[in-house]
Amino acid sequence: MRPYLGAGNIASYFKASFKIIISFLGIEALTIMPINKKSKNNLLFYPIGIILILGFLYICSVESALSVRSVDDIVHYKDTIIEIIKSVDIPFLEFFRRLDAVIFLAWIMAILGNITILAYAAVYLLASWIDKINFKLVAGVVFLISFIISIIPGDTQQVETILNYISYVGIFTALLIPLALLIITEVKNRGKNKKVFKYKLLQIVVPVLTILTFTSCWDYKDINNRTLPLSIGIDRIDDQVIYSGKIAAITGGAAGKTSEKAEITSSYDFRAKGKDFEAAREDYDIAIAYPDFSGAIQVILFSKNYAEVDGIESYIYRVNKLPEHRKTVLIAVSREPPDVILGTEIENDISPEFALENTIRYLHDNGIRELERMISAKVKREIVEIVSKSQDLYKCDIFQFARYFNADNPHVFKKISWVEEYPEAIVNIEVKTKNVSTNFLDLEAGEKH
Amino acid sequence: MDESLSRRQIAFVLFGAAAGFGVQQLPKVLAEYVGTGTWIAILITTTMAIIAVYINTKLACVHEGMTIYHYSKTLVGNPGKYIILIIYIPYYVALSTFVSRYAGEIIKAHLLIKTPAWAIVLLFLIFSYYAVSKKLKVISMLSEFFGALIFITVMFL
Repeated sequence: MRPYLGAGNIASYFKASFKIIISFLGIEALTIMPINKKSKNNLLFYPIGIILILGFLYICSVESALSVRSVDDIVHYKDTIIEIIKSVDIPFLEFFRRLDAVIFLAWIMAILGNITILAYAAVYLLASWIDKINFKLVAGVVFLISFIISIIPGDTQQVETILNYISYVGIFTALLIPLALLIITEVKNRGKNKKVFKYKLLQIVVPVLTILTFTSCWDYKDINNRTLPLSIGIDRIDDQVIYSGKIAAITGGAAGKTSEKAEITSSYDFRAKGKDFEAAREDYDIAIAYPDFSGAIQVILFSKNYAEVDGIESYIYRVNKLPEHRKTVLIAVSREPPDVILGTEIENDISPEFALENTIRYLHDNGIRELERMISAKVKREIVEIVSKSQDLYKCDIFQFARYFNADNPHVFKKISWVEEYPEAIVNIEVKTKNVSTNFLDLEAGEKH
Repeated sequence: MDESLSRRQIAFVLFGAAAGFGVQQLPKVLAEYVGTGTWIAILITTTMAIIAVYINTKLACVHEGMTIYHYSKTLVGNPGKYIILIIYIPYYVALSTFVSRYAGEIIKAHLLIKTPAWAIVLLFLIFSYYAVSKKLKVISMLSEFFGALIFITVMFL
């Protein structure tokens, strides 16, 4: 029987948990709520119960979103819940058939609650600090500052980035600072004399300092004793799998040399083969001098032949699962044999791996340009069609081009009969599309998943 | 005026402060990282939130009738108190500000397409200012009202 969570997945669950901390932010508002003697009894049950209910509601929302749309679809919508609710229409509910109105109402109420409580916390702390100034005046100043700050970010993307940073601060304000205060409270309450207090402090300080101090990274000896492949090409020729590529040559560097020319990445070529991928890989392992370190690989190139016959799915899983591989390693399929591409001399002296990486990244980054070009072409087709219809079928200038033609060429316009000329006129159409905002669509989504 | 709250009010204020913002992005963020195993990640975050709530509630219970402004002075002295205030005040201001701006952007994108985001933010802030000027008791009553409506709506759906 396999465990429910694979060992490799545990880290991603924790990463995801930290990413959604913002959904629970606001609990630190407890720090500004005074509690009296009467409310103290069984108090813990209420706030913890509310958080459990909130967690349950979040699970329900996310699971329902997943059941309506697939994982692959959901990753492209930043405001998934609203997007899904908007697409739901239940005619049998008559007045409530559009559920988005109801959900929006509840969501706006929740947001108003959020803002009010968080703003109160800020105003309360500031007013307590400068207690000579009237509470309402402090509130007014805080809200004025809030409004000015709120209009500073240019677009939604910037607001999201700022909120992400705020959520990291939230870990301190909701958890770490109160934890430190609670520890100090406990220590002060229990330790009546200084010795005990110091001992307790040592118990906290020593482990923290130990963790922070005794961490390390690779040293130069490790790198010298590793084989660092820069690129890998996988091909199938007849019944043999060819495993080829380049290995970095570790050199001392060209001390004192100055040149305006970019320095060529020094590397060795390698070529291993076997009846299947595992055999080819074994052949490679025997040939290399030191244990392999795959973290430096920039490109993994498959031949079209290998991709069609053997498939690359299993290899992609392998790259994703093995911890030493960069998760951003580029995987590409080429028409030409990989060892030919990886052995190509690039004009500006950069290595083929960099050239490939750069080209693929350029295409990835400029994907939106292709979309704009397609939109322009589509819109142009539609305009040409309707203009042709107005010229050939209706023989009528329904777009009032005459006004503009008259303004540009008044003398010519007086000499001609526009009604007769319009059906024969040559209309030049140029459509330019510029995507000004991707709004709540995440075009780069799916990379992490 | 006594600003102490009842247990129910505390629970609803907590719900009001935490629920709402962030829920719209949950499925996307979770699906990106953990695919279909989203509930496990939510469970982990809920556990972390419970720990934080426990710590904060315990602090408030130990220091009866006091807020972080008062008990931080007792625990870490005046310099420590000011450091805490310097962290908390900008944090609360920034969080409330950018939550209102983000909500404004969402409303603009889906409902009020031609309305500038700043106008929506201004409405949010005017509402909040009025509620804040009435202090914690009124805010807790407002939270109870909103909380009950939100519960009914979510249960209905």
